[in-house]
Amino acid sequence: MLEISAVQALLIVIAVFIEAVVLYVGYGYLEDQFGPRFIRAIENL
Amino acid sequence: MVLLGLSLELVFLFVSFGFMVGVFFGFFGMGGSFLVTPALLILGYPAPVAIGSSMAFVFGTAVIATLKHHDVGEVDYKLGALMFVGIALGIEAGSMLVFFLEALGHAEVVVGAVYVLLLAGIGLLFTRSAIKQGSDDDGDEPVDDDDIPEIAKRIKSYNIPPMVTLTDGSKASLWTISGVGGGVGVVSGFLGVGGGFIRMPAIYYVIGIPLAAAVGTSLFGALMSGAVGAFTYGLSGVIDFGVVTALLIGSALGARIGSASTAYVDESDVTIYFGIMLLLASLAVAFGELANWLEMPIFDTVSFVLLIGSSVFVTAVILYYGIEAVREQPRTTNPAPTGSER
Repeated sequence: MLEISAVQALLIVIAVFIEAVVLYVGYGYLEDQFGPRFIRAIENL
Repeated sequence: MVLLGLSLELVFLFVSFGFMVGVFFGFFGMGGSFLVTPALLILGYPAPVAIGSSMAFVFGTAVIATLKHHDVGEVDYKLGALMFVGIALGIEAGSMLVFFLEALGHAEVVVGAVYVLLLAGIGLLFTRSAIKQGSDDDGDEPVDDDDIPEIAKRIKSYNIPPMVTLTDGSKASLWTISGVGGGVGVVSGFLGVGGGFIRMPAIYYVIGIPLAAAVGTSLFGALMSGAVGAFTYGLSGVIDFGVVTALLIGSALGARIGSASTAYVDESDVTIYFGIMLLLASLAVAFGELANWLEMPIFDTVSFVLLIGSSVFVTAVILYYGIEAVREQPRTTNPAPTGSER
């Protein structure tokens, strides 16, 4: 196993945090844009 | 072609698996992370890598879920912060146990065996509760979200100092809070799970805060235990960032669809399938262990098919019920906000 420093381990945690926030915001934007249209499309199936 | 350090097939597999886990998370309010570690173990990742990557995935998923619950004010940050010390110490103890077992060469076997028992136990509980719910559907009392169970009231009546005042105005002993945090932390650190299936009931039944806040606070706890776990395992360089990223891309989308489905689908219609899926996942891990012991790769294939197959099936059931419900009951207003997981 590769031993890495506490700073590097902290950077991994921060990177996952940023990734999660970006995905939350990104998918939220897509949901706002396309969500209602998607639901209407299913209703009309 | 290689993407995120993985072959395209593996990226597709992890994004799809993450999507399914996200749907469970959004729909049932549980991370489904207890499926990720076994999946990685079955795919041949060493136990510390499987658990470390799963912890990082739990952290990312919990960040997303906590943001959603924060939007509707269902997170008791004070309680979450008080649990932090217990959680951190528990995770440290759990991860030390994993590395100790790894040094002895028994980590995969022990973690796998505990998973078999845990998944089977939770699967049985879900299946039994779904069958019971189906047989006495009319007799159910409506649950008051602001009420707390009798056992929690009794525990709260023992004033063991130091007592702390929670956000809802009630009081709880710091020992109870730390004990819950520590116990859940050990399970999280040892198995690489968020521990929501233990933490949420523990917060509700032992610490005694209302159900909605218990769910939100439990997710905040998952965020902290995931962060500590990711950091602890990260120090050993065992987190596969490519795997975590691929899983998160899928789960962030799945969680939105899963939580949106709760506005349309009755959970009791699907719970039994979730219970059966957990039982099959338990069987899958058992086959994975048998494959190692007997050196018969065919069992690995059976294990993989069972795990992925049962997850695909339950995801399809949730999506099917969701689509049918939307078609049968067209809503006149905009779709329900997706920030309200249970």
